[in-house]
Amino acid sequence: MATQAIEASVSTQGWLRGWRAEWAENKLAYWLLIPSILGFILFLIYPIASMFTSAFSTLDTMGRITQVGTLKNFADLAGDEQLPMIIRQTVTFAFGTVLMEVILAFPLALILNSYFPGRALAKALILIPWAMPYAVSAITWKWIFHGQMGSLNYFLMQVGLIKENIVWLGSPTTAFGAAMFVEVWSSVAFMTVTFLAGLQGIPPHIYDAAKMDGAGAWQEFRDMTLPQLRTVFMIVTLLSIIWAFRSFAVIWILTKGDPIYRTDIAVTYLYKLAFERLYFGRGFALAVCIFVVLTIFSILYTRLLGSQEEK
Amino acid sequence: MLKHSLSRRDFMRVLAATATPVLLAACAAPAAAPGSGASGESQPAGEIVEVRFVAMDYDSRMQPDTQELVDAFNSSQGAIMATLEVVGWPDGRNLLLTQISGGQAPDVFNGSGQWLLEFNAAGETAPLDDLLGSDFLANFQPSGIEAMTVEGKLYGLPYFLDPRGLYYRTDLFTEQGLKAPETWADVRAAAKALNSPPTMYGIGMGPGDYWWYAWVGAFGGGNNLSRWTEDGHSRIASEEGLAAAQYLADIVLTDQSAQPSPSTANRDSDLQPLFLAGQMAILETGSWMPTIITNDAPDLQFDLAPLPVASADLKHANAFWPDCVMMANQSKNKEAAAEFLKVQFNAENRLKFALQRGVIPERIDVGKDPGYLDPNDPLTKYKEFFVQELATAHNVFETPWPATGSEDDNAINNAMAQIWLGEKSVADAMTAAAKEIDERHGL
Repeated sequence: MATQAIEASVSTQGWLRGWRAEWAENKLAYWLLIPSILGFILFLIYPIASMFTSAFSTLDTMGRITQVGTLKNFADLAGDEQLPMIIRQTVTFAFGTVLMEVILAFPLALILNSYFPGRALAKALILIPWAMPYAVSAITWKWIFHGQMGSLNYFLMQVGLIKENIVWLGSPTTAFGAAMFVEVWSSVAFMTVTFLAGLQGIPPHIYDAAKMDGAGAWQEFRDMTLPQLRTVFMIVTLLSIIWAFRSFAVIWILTKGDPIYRTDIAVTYLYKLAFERLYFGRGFALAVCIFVVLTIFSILYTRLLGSQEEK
Repeated sequence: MLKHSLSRRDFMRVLAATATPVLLAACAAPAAAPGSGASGESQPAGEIVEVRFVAMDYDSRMQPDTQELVDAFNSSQGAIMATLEVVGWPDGRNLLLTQISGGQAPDVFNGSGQWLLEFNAAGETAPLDDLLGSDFLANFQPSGIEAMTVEGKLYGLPYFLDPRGLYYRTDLFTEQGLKAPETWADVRAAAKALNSPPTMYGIGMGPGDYWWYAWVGAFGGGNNLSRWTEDGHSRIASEEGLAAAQYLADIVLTDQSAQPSPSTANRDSDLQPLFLAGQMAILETGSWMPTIITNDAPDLQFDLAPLPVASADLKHANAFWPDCVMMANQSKNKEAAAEFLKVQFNAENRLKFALQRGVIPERIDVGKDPGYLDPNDPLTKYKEFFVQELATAHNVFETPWPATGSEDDNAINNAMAQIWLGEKSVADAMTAAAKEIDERHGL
């Protein structure tokens, strides 16, 4: 026991000595770090602490804390009739859009990785939806989907596919589908470009070696391309899931979560709870839940990124 | 080389000293207590007092028109400096919530009568009776003043009063030999006869307001139009309430004479543009519509009728959704803010506002002013109609449950959406909505 205490003391003293030496050598750097640390506290730690404090407090209809230390907000949230539907929709939206993005982006990246006339132009064009601000994309598509004046109905009518206007953003199914479509349209370019970067990072000589061993195109793709892209695939998928979870602008501009919450996802519902229905406590509780989920995805993402950098 | 003599202990102290207040702030209540500054601290004599007015915009001219008023007020005296911030309606409520909860409320601001109830329930609006005086308030329509009165105290000045009417295409009605609709049966027959989608929809239908038009029509004028029983229960699933919802369901589901997807239709961005584009035969909307038609679709042949009633033996009834100007309880310059309100709401400025916005004057004298009711103005007959309607129109924000007004409206809108989407029957949807509302109020 005494030996352990001595070892611990020696270890602490060693650490302190090391820290002191480190400080003596870099004290100016540490001083210069203070503004960043303060900024970090003010703009990251403070809002997060404030969110957690509010989530565990009673709030009035103006969003002010009236009493700290309660789980009532979480209990109210758990009892919210709409919550199971909102969770289902959030999961469907996040994973559905990412799945569609993968299905579209991977072939696009493969095409862009091959040589054809106009390849540079194609690369530039594919980036346009991603370069457009979400709000601009959503407003543009809102008008395209408009039931009476939208160009989509006009086009479908002209080619004889429909006889009556469809109010795309009016029924729960088509509105949710439209929101997912716009999210995919806006995000697929990022995934394509990332896959393309991954493809271009594969050393060409491994394909040459495979060819010499008699591998066909399918075998090359299955045994060389896909394994080489696995980490890139995981990283970009996780990142896209995180973004899809936070996709407020597209849904808010297109449908505002209507009709009857059928196109809401967690972030839009959170906004409605707090700012439309004035249930700030419940809103903060949902914010904490979203924060926890996104933190888990972020940790996974960071670890994957770290392992990729090590490679 | 520069020697840095700060010890590790000192460094930790500096870090702790800077970080602790921030962390403590994170754990503390983020805002001033409600009603802080309610006493109205007065400024030292001789100092210019600032009054901040946050205005929700009604149209693209709101900013310059209101700035002109503010400039005129500032140049008319030297003791009070009014400032103006115009914000969009969709963000306005959030902005005010944020400013109020942060203890930085504007001195005066306009908004919906619903907001007045919400803010008042949180103790954030100042009573105006004593600040403005009974002589000044005697100029206003009693229905407007009553709408802004909570438990005997006035908390807002009526700013934009909007009784509604039924607009119909006279050319189409004449072609089909139809008369101006007076009852629900007339409306359904005309809408069915004129409906020819997608080039022409019989009638415009949407959430919110449209349930109210049916509600007041189910009872008729002179009857109790409140959504509440005397003990605070919801009446929306009463016999008349079910009849109102059934009427709306029949138009959408049985007759299919409304435009598609009424549950997500927006009056201003979906329905009015269709009427203006000549693609809608009947539309119930507000007093601003004749001005918009004159400006945007001057060739449209239309006329105006009172909101229809369930049967011919009922008198027609109307409803209005009053907007108001409120004073923040946090204002430290209440008397100066009241002086600003007195100028903003004098007859001259309210006449200008009524003409600029196409809104019905809340001041009795302005409603009779020849400058407003110009006999040579083709819109005058509509103005006269709405001025008369305002006297008896029902305030839709009237409720014994001021803090949950938006939630109670949501319940009705969701019920109507479920009916229109064919998910629930009228009786099931409205009964469930009434139950939800009553349970929210602990009944």
